[in-house]
This record gives sequence, structure tokens and C-alpha cells, in this order.
Amino acid sequence: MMITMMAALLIAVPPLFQPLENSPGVEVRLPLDASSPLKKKVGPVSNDDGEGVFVVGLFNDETGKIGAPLFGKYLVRDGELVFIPSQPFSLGKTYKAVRTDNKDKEVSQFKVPALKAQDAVRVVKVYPTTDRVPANLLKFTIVFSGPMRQSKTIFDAIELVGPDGKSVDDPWRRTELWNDNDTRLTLWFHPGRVKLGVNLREQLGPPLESGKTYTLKIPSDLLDASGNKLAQGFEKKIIAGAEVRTRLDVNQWKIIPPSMQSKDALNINFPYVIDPYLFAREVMVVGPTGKIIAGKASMGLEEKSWQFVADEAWQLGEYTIRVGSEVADLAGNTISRPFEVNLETLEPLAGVQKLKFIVK
Amino acid sequence: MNSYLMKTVALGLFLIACTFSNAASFEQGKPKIQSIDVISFQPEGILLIGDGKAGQVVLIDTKDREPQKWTASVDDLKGKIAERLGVAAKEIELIHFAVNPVSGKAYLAIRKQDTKSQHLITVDGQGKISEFSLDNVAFKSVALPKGTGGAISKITDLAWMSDRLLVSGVAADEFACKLYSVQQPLEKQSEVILTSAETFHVAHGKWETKAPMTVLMPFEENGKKYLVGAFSCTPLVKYPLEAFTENAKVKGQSIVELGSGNKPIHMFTYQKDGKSYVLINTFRFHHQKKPFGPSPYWTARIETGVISENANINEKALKRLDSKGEPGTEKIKLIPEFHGVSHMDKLDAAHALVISEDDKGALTLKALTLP
Repeated sequence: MMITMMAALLIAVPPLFQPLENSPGVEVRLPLDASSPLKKKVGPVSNDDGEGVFVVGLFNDETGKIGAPLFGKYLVRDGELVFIPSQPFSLGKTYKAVRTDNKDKEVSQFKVPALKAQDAVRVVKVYPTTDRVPANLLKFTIVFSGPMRQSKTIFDAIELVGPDGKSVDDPWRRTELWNDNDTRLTLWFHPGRVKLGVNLREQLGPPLESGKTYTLKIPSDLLDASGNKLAQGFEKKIIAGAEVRTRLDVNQWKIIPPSMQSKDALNINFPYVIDPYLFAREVMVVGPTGKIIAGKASMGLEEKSWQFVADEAWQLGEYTIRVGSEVADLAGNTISRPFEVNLETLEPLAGVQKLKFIVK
Repeated sequence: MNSYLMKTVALGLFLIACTFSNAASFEQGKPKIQSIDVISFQPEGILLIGDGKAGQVVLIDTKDREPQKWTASVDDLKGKIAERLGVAAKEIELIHFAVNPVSGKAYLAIRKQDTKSQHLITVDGQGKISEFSLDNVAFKSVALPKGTGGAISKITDLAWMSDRLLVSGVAADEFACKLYSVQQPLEKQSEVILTSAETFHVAHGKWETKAPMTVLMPFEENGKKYLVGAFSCTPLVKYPLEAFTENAKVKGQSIVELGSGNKPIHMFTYQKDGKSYVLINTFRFHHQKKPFGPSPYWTARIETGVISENANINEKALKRLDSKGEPGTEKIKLIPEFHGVSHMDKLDAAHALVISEDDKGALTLKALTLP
């Protein structure tokens, strides 16, 4: 009996992975031997001391090797040495814990299940939605159905294919611009190729030439936030027209007022395509008493019209559409100025515009 | 007391005063950071984190002030960091890099893809890789005002300029140059001046007002302070700092054109053999078509005399480095020893700490002698 107990004490046990009860994390625990110098401690211990007892690393399925110790902290709790990784374990990976304080190197492992199959992310929309664009188009806005993985590789993965079937060389400004939940990517052309007279354009030419047809190709192997490919690739044809380099003139907008006491939409028709995100940010409707009118706004077909349905019926009187100076067309020309200017001969910049309409 | 000793004591007192005045307003805890876009340091070892999504700069007292000697060269840096984060190398990306000027320790901002999380990693002079946890640190944050137009989406660079912090930002939807100037002491309620800069684009023949700056560098000459800025393209532009006032449109002078198809990444000044230089590394996105060397990452050394130039500027600043990468002046030199350097920062008076990238994307961290 005594011999059996002694033998049991001599057999070293491996550290155990223990999923936490109240959080998605995992910690790794090992009862400390009576002879361990850490046995008498309580609370945090140094990583050097902890790693002298056991380490936890990523298991590489291909090489069969265990990686260097994970970042994390060690502590002694209830006679056990506990390792708490600084990061949650990654889905689909296998981690191994190895005793380093004895020759037998007892090992235990923990496999994190892969993410359950879910609907693959797809491209929902690409702005501009029209296929007719000025040759000095400044950007695309790509809307995805779910969060994507940020990566500088997108600038090589997303192609613009010219009429000769070849990719346009380096058309993008390599600055990643995602919205807060990574579902919207703003992809700018390199401005040095759009602006007149800049070295880049002089040497390489503009990315788009008037009269030619191009295809924006978003490959299916872009990765979503979970590391999965898109449901399918996305292609959008565009036909480049003449370059547009003039300031937007709000007097060319056609306002169609709603009727008094109705819940009809206020409509504005534009003679050109408007940037929908800047418009949504920069425009508001103000009532006869100076109060901002609440309602729902939406862009019409090919972003050439705008509709606004007020929450409450329209009242008799003069309303104002307040248009901020950053409202822009597809070439970055705004209410206040054209995209490119010579400031030495520039006319005074226009500020916020106020368009009046009467509800009757 | 001789003058050298007096200067040393004065500098020491100044650093202590800076540290003390900073410490006074730090709070202990976990800063709320939404995105780590760029990192940089104040001279006394305070880490600056540019967080564009939250529109703030976060200051962290790293308490990392033990100077160390660099003896290490860390190969497969990405693989080694990824392993410690529990994933494969392809599942992390290096976002930005800075060296603590007090300790000489390397700080890397890393994005872990599967959890969409960002991490600060340090590497010491012996090559030891550690995580710099933000869970319980001494920190404070400076909010950047939105100003007119939209909020910034990303901070492109930070530069500490002896008495003020300069921050450049870029917006997602509009083409704008948003430049913030925050006078010391940096506090939550610090007054922040928001300006936009106008730039005479080399070969452009026009003032163009809106190009967002991607790299910032402080520069002083004859007691006057300047900001030297770089863009997605390669003119370097000098702006007088005194002109940065609220809502001002500051006009700059193009002083160097490094050739088209290049995106500057880091730049700093240093002195060697009694001469002053700027070291600048860039990513050549036209590498496949017209390489400047064996790697898309190349580095140039510029004599600061070029930056002090007041005559050959703007359209006359043309082609200091032509389309083949050949300098048009002896004052600018390509540095072959720095080919492949994707990130760099000044380590000490004689060395840079660099991260070089090979053609398979593997990274090596090492110290190189300043050219």
C-alpha cells in the first residue's frame, strides 16, 4: 500500500487545460509537487519561474512541433501553478502544455473547435453603382455583408482590369480605410495618378482613360474576419467618360417639394452622381421655425437623386436644405471648390449652401 | 562647474521635470483604445499611440528606462511573435514600429487577424520578445477635435517637436489633410489646433491643398522650427511651425522629390562626422516595373542642406531622384545596406534599429550603422 502511494507520487502528472466557467477563456493548471519552491507562494510568480515548471505553446500540425511559450502570466492558487494566456485561444488550433521540471516532459493538449459553418460573407454593393464614371473617378466604396479581415494585401488582391485584359498597374492609394465594424472599405485611386501634372501621372498615365471600359475585380479569396473566403468574387464594369474638374453648382439641382400636410418625399435630382456617404453626413433639412426635420433619407438610382421622408407631415412654409461644403461628386469636386485648384487664381471658396423650398 | 557639467545637470533636471510634470496627470488602468494606427515616443520614453478610430492620442508611461546594448539580430521575427500569440505567422501583420529613445527597446504594433485584436510587442537588445500589456498602465489621452467636415478614420503619423505634438490624420470619405498641433503639457483638456496644409506639388504647377500627410518629421534650422511632411507620393514638404494656427491653411515648400511610385514610411534626422542628414525609407509600389534595387523597400540619405534650401524649391526641386532611382544631386544617396528595410527608427547617435523584409515576407530585426 505504502509502495503504491509512493509510486503514485513519483509519477508526474501533466498540466491540465481548464475552460473557465464564466468566460470563454481557458487556463492551464498543475498541482505543484510538495518539493516545488513555488509551493509556498500565493499569487503572481514570474514567467521565468512559471516556465521552469511548465510551458504552453501552439502545436504545429505540419511540423509536429510545439511553439515558443505563449504570452501570459503565471500565479499560484490553492497549491496549483496556473497559467493564464494573455490572448484567448484561437479557433481551430491545438495547444499543448509541457512540463519542463522533469525529464519525462508530460504533455497534455487542448484543441479549440473550429468556427461552425456560417454564411460566407459576400460583396453587397459597390459605389458608385452607376457604370458611367468620370475618368478622374477618385474612389470605390465596397460594402460587405459581414466583417472583413483588415490587411494591406487587399491593395494587390483587388484589381482593375483594362480593356486590353491586363491589370492597371498600382491604381490604389495604399491606406486601409475601413468603417468601425469592418464591413465597408473605401478604396481610393492613388491621387498622384488622378491629379494633372503630378509625376506619377506623367510617368504612368492616369488609371482610367476616357472612352475605355474597365472591370473592378474583387476576388473570392479575400478573407472575412473569421479567415474564410468570400462566398464568391465580385466584378463591376465601368465605362470612363470625360474628366470633370469643376466645382459643384447646387443651382443645377432640381428640388421637388412635397405637399402640405402630406408625408410625401422631398426629392432632389442631380445632374451628376453624388457621393452618398458625404451627402448623408453633410445635408440636413430645416423647417420654417429653424428646427431640424427628422426623417428617413435615401439615395435614388445610381446616386443621381435623393429622397427624404419626414417623420411628421410637412407644414405650410419655407423650408431650407442645408448643404455642407464637403458634398462631392465622383471626382472629389465639392460644393466649395473643384478637386484641383490653383490657389493663386482661385475664386473665393463657397461655404455652406442654403437651398430654399416652399411647402404649400 | 564647467560648462559641460552644467549642461549635463541642466539636461538631467529638464528630463526629471518633464517626467515629473507628465507623471502628475497620468492615471493608472487600462486605456480605451479602438485602433493602434501608429506609435512613437517622446524623448523621455513616453509611448504615444495614435488611435484614429477613437480620435485620440494615448500617452503611456512605459517605465522602460533601462538603457541596453543591442547585440541581437532577430530573424523570423513575425513567426516568433505569432507563435507567442498562439497563431501562425500569416495570421499577424506588423502595423507600425518605434524605438524607445531612453531604453533602446523596440516596440511593435501588431494586428492579430483572427481576433481582430492589436498588441504591443517589445524586443530588447538581447532579442527577448515580450508583450507590453495595456491592462494596467499609467496613461492619459488627448482628444483630437473633429473640426469641420468628417472625423478622421486613421492617424497616419505622430511627431513630437520639443514643445508640441503634431498629428496627421486621414478621413475615409473625403480627400483632406487634417493636421493637429497640441502644445505641451499634453493633457486630456489640452488645446488642440487643427489646420490643413497647402502644398506646392512638384511638377504640378499649382497649389494643391488637400493631400493627406503620411509621415511627419520635426526639423530645426537657425532656431526656427519646421515640420517636414511626406505624402503617398514622394515630395518632401517643409512647413514653418509658427504658421500653424487655428483653421490656418499653412503653405509649404516642396524641397525634395524622390521619384514617383514610392511611398515614404519613416524618416528621422541624425548627425555623422559633423554633418546632418535625414534618413528616409520608402516602399516602391512600382518595384516590379522599375526597381530601385533588389527589394521594393529602399532607403535614401539626404543632407539636411537640401531641406534648408530656400532657392531650389517647389518646381525647381524637381527630380532630385529620378525615375531610375539615380540622384540628381550628390547630396542625396541611396543606401544599399538598407535595401529591404520596411521599418526603422533611430536607436542611438550611430545606429538605426531596422526591420527588413525578404522576398518571402519574413522579417529580421537588427541594428545597422547609420550611413
